[in-house]
Amino acid sequence: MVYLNLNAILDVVSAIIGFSVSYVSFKYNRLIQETVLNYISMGFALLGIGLLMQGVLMLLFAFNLFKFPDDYRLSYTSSVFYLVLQLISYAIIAIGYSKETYWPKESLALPLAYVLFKKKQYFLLRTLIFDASQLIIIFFLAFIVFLGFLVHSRDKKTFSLLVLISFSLMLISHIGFLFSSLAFSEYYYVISNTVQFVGFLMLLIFLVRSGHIG
Amino acid sequence: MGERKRNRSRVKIYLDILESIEKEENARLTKIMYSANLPYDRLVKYIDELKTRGFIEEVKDNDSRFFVLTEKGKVFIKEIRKIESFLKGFGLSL
Repeated sequence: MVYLNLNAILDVVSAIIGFSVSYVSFKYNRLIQETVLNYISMGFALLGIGLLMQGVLMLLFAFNLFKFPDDYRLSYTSSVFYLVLQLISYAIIAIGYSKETYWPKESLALPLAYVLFKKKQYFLLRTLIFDASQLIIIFFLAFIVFLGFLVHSRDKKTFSLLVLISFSLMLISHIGFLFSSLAFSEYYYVISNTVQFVGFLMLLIFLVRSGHIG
Repeated sequence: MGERKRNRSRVKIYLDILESIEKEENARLTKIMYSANLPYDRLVKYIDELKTRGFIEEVKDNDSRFFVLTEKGKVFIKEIRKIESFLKGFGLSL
């Protein structure tokens, strides 16, 4: 119960922060027509939807509105949907982030297509869906962190540092999610979810410091 | 793979002009031209746009004319600086 409630709260709050980043990007894109902001907005909106869905589902289970194993199929479908949303959103952020930052448009498409093709075999194995998805998410996040590092080493500003720390924490959390799955450990899952939450808190600090909230 | 040189966006040019007016308080056209790094004909076009949008006001004093920021202009500068901070987080610029 406590496990479900804690994870639900972390997910819902993270979702709200994700929606805030998405909204600010959307608002500014309308003003200055910067394509990258479209990607950031869409990526964080999808991430927010996934987190909110997962959080609400955990709350429903925590308050016994849904029950195991009766609603197992719903829980399973929702988790897969959440993973797919995460995959798409991190892919969108990675492509958008790289598009204007350092790389020519086409250079990312090829390695991404290659990785997705290589991972396709894992998706045929139902039990490995979670682990395979986590592997791809880790790949995307590692790429985003790499770009974030390049951006920060170029401008040395607090804002880019906060974004870099945020994505780095998200990367660490997903490595933790994978580890918790391999070790069948709820404990590691909670720790990973907390690390992910701290990553979203860094984004919140970024929004506050750049004057968008508060 | 190096950083690509981008042209200044219209918003960035607005900001440069408004910041030079803010710095000078009563800014003359020549001063803004150097400060915002714009040729005369383009500057006049942007100044007209900023006047139409209500961000600056033209003040005539004897033979000379200068420009001052309106309240709306001050708010606009603040907003654009916020946008700049947000973009910097993702390695972008105006």
